[in-house]
Amino acid sequence: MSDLNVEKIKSESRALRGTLYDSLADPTTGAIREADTVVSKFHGIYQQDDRDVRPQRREARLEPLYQFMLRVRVPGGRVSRDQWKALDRLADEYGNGTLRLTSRQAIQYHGISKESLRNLVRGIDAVGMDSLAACGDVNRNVMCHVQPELGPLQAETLKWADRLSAHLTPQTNAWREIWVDGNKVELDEPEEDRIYGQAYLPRKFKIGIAVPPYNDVDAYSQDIGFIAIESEGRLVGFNVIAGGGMGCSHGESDTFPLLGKVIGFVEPNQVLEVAEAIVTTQRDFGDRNNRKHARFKYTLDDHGTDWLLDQIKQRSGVELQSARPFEFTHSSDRFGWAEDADGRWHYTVFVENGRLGPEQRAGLNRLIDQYVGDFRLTPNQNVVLTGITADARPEVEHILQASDLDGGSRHSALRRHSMACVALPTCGLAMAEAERYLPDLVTRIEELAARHSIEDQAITIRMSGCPNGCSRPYLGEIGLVGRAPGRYNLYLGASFNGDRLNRMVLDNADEAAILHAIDGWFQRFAGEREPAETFGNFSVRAGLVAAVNHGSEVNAA
Amino acid sequence: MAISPAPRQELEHQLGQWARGLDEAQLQWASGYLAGLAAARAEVGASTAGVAPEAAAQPTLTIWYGSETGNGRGVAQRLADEAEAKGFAVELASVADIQPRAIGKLESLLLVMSTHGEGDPPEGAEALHKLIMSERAPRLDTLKFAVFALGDSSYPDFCQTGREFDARLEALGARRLIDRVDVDVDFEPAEDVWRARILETLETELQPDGRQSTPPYLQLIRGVDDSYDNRPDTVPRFDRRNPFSAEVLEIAPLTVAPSTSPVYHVELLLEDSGLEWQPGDSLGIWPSNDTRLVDEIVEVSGIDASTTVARGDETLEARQWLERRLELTLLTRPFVEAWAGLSESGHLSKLLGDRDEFAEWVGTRQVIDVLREYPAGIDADSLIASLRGIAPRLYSIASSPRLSGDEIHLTVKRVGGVDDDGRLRAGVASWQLAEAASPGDRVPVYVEANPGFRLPENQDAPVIMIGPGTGVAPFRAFVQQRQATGAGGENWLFFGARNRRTDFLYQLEWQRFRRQGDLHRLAVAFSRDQADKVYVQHRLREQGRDVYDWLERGAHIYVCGDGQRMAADVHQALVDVIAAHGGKTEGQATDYLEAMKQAKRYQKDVY
Ligand code: SRM
Ligand SMILES: Cc1cc2nc3c(=O)[nH]c(=O)nc-3n(C[C@H](O)[C@H](O)[C@H](O)COP(=O)(O)OP(=O)(O)OC[C@H]3O[C@@H](n4cnc5c(N)ncnc54)[C@H](O)[C@@H]3O)c2cc1C
Ligand SMILES: Cc1cc2nc3c(=O)[nH]c(=O)nc-3n(C[C@H](O)[C@H](O)[C@H](O)COP(=O)(O)O)c2cc1C
Ligand code: SF4
Repeated sequence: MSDLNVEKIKSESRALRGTLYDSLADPTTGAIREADTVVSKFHGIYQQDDRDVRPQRREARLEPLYQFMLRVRVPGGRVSRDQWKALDRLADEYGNGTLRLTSRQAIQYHGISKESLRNLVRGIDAVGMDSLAACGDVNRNVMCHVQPELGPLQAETLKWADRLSAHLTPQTNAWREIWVDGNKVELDEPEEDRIYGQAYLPRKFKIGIAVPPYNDVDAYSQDIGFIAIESEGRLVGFNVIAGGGMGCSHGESDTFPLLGKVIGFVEPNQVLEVAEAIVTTQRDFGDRNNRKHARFKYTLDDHGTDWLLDQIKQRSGVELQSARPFEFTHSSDRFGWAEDADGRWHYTVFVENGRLGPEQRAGLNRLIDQYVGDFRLTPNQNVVLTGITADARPEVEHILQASDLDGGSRHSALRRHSMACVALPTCGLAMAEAERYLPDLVTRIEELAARHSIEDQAITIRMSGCPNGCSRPYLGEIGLVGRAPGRYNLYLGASFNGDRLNRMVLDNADEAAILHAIDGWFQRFAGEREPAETFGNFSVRAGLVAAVNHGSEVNAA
Repeated sequence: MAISPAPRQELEHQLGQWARGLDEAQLQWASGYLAGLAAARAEVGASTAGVAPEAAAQPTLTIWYGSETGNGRGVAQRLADEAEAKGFAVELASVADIQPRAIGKLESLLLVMSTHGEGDPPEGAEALHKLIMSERAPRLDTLKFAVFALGDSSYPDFCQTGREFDARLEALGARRLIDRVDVDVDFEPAEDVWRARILETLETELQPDGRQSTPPYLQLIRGVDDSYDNRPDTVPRFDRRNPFSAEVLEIAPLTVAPSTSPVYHVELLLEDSGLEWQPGDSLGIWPSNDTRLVDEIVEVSGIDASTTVARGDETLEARQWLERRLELTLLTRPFVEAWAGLSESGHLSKLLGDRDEFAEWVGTRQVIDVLREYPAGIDADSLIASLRGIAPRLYSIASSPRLSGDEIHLTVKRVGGVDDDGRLRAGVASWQLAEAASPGDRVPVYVEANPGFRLPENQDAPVIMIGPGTGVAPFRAFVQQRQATGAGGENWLFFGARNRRTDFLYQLEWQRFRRQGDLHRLAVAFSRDQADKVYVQHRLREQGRDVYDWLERGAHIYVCGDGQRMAADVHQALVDVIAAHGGKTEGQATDYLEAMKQAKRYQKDVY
């Protein structure tokens, strides 16, 4: 891909149309034209191939098993009953029988054939959902803290997630034209896009809304993090965090993860203007010559916070107030039951690595048919069942058990706080297994925890198949990033609440080396931890690893 | 050219001696003959007499063959060579190259004719067949003839076309020299016997009264058959009867699970074989049966595999007969007849009575199945005697010698496989090539030239290649060849299979050819990728306008692959396209294709 001139393709795409029609019409290949693979991302559609079968297909003189991943945009992770029923059915009709809950509260289908794409898109469009801007150099799915029991505060923050999402959606009819209507329109003038222009952003852009003390959206990893500030349960505004991001490349020290900086406070009615100002600033100043240096985090790191505040003022007229005090306690989900003010119950289910197979899907189907209001997808690839009556609780738990789903009673705290990206076999960038391997590795780590009798300790373990960091591994108390099949870099020292990055302690290590290191840490932790001390904080205090002050230190040996 | 006086007197003297005692007619004949002789010498370059060649007055022996896969051609060739050796003036030709009505002028005709399709004439013989079978057929009262019919007794209409010619020629008044023989695919022994008999008969039949057989020094004139390059002097050392043992270089699948019909790419090394081939030719393989099947036969029949059995002029252990010499995977009518007797099975006898039921019954069974279903107490000798000799299988050569030198590539579809009971029920040759063999093994092979399936001589002529399934094999050779020879003409391939994801044979290579500009159009039909089944003929119709344009621009059409239905469906599609876009009636469109056929611009290689 890198050898493709992405900037050229974007600006010549005629508002994201490219030559997708012709690509879809070519029956001699399961692929679309290379340039169209760039355009299709803006439609939430990634060309991939099944990497497990690459070698045997090459030997058979067959092209790779091209297939597509479609990412449904779900602002704030809210999915209604009807939507879920439709999404679930589509997984069998056009997908590979699984649904994949993502680390940004969205839903992915894998293994879609070129021929099935239109039908799938029509299916999600029929229930008022889309995949436009789920990927690409635009603002992605807007995340929002999930906690139905918060009542009004949750409702208001969700509303802002929706508004931000709508406000920053690219202005084009291409998505509907190509996938839903499916008939070629010859337009002489593509749509105007006031915010994105013709070349869109230099790189992807991400926004998340957190509600303290919960940092499930990992606000510091977002290009813009909004931290809801409340008084008496009502939303008064947001602190703004700017310039976070995870992605980096092995052995390229000028690429690194960064935590966003708290740059001030905005009132609700300023949110859209300020977000737009930051987006257009990145549009105009982001590096369009080097995609590895194009994320907003680098733009800000290079220009500094004052410069940004000045840009915001120029573009939106808004002067940020000084940030309000807040405290995050953890970045993971709160599992199991919770009751809201109206006596309705909500249940957070742990979905291992976000993958829902037929069995789990069947269970969730029964639940949403009979007992559950709607689903909320969490930023940690899990799902919250909302609006359950007290008397239905036993039956709900029974169905969960029966369908291999669990909210905390069966799975260890370690496992429930683990998260892996997709990686092999679908991800074209994967260097090592993640989703398919982490469950086994966690089993080994559970054994170590048991040996040192700390099995009840919640420790965030995050594995990514490559340094792009889709599971936000540099914010895991234990982080694992793929280097090559069976080999990972091992990281230690992030905070439990997501306000401190970790640091690499082992380079290109195999399982034995990884387990050996963790065994040693657990032994010390079991012996020397202070009451309620989290593993990450302990590892720094006890000197197992030196705290990271700037992202550039994360991979520094 | 002038002759100097001295030798001339010499010559006159000799001729005078020799001519004494010849009557007028004979002198007439001799003069004409000598003229022809001079001409023939000129042809072979032995002399440069400026005299135009003239048909010899000696009754010429006409040998015509209708042959699609080369067997009949070989038979006719060997017959011609031996007849000439015996001093006959021979006119050898493929019926594809003669004017059908010319048969009316012949004195003698030896017809070597195979059967193809479902009891149909071989490619190129249709015209003659049509004429002879029709009302408009000429009377043939002065014609003497004999028919050698090739066939395969595993087909319901055994030697059908040969039989039809034989009966019809007689009906038209021709006199049969000797009875027709119908030979199966293991025809070599029968061929030798027939050749000897017919030549013997001819010696007496074709002598002009009072003259003993032609003096050796007058044995120069021969009918010149330029219908193919396989002249005696270029006939390779290795042939069907004397195959070359080629080394297997590589066997690689071309399809992936869950494909329903696995196809394999097979590479063989013909180094130092002296064999030559060109795109369009096929490779003949003498297969041997899998030991698992042989074991099963031995076990079920209860014979002693080590007993030595004689058959023809060969004596081998029973096991060797079964492994290397006999047909086990195909059922033939003679075998079933024999077995009906041995097993005294009423059901078998009943089956033999019903043509269609029998045909479909044998289609899905092999010898071993009969042995199991209809047990009969027999010994090795009677089992061996009941079976048919094994026949070679042909595979289109899928590589251009310009590119792969003395390697030959084949595209082999595996027939059958291991059934649910773990028993091997597969086609003998395809199983051997696809599964049993491994690199380093050797297989007996020979090249079967196919003059009726050749790229245009005009490098700039466009070609349309229609090859679904393994029919695509020769077109890989075609495109490679056109690339290697820098042909300017455009190439358009129609390919079809069940699913694009699993069955797109050589997909990467076609894509590369396209990128490099050596394949200009690629139309594909994957029948199972959508609700309604789509085949190549549908694509032909869809893109009919362009197809017709190409034809008008002088394109050559090639069709290869399944002869059961595809070839006919494609033919109909072409007729429709020509009618629709050429503004022609069905009849005119058919003639248009017929003309293309005559001009060798519409060629088929179907099986
Ligand atoms: C599905 C998901 C991981 C998961 O297991 O949940 C995911 C999957 C992929 N990410 Fe990601 N990313 C996902 C969240 C993230 C996150 C976490 C977040 O956003 O909070 C990050 C780190 C934060 C950040 O952006 O820095 C992330 C950083 C990347 C990067 C590195 C970006 C960078 O700045 O370097 C890439 C590669 C790129 O963009 O060039 C990437 C690219 C990809 C692609 C599309 C690979 C590709 O470009 O071909 C992966 C598809 C794999 C597959 O087969 O499904 N993904 N990706 C997440 C989908 C989120 C969503 O619903 O939109
Ligand atoms: C000119 C020409 C070119 C050809 N080119 C090619 C080519 O390029 N590629 C190619 O693959 N083939 C090609 N063929 C076909 C090839 O020659 C063989 O006929 C084919 O491979 C089958 O031979 P076999 O020995 O494997 O099967 P055989 O032993 O001859 O058995 C084949 C027949 O036996 C029956 N049979 C055997 N086993 C089973 C079973 N398990 N279930 C049901 N029925 C069964 C079926 O009736 C089947 O048709 C060509 C044929 C010709 C005449
Ligand atoms: C596609 C195909 C169809 C055949 N159909 C018949 C048939 O119907 N009846 C028959 O007796 N032989 C049939 N045969 C067998 C041939 O006649 C036999 O192989 C013969 O030796 C071929 O001679 P040739 O190479 O001169 O064409 C068929 C062979 C092929 C390849
Ligand atoms: S982290 Fe790398 S391997 Fe994992 S999903 Fe993202 S891009 Fe793929």
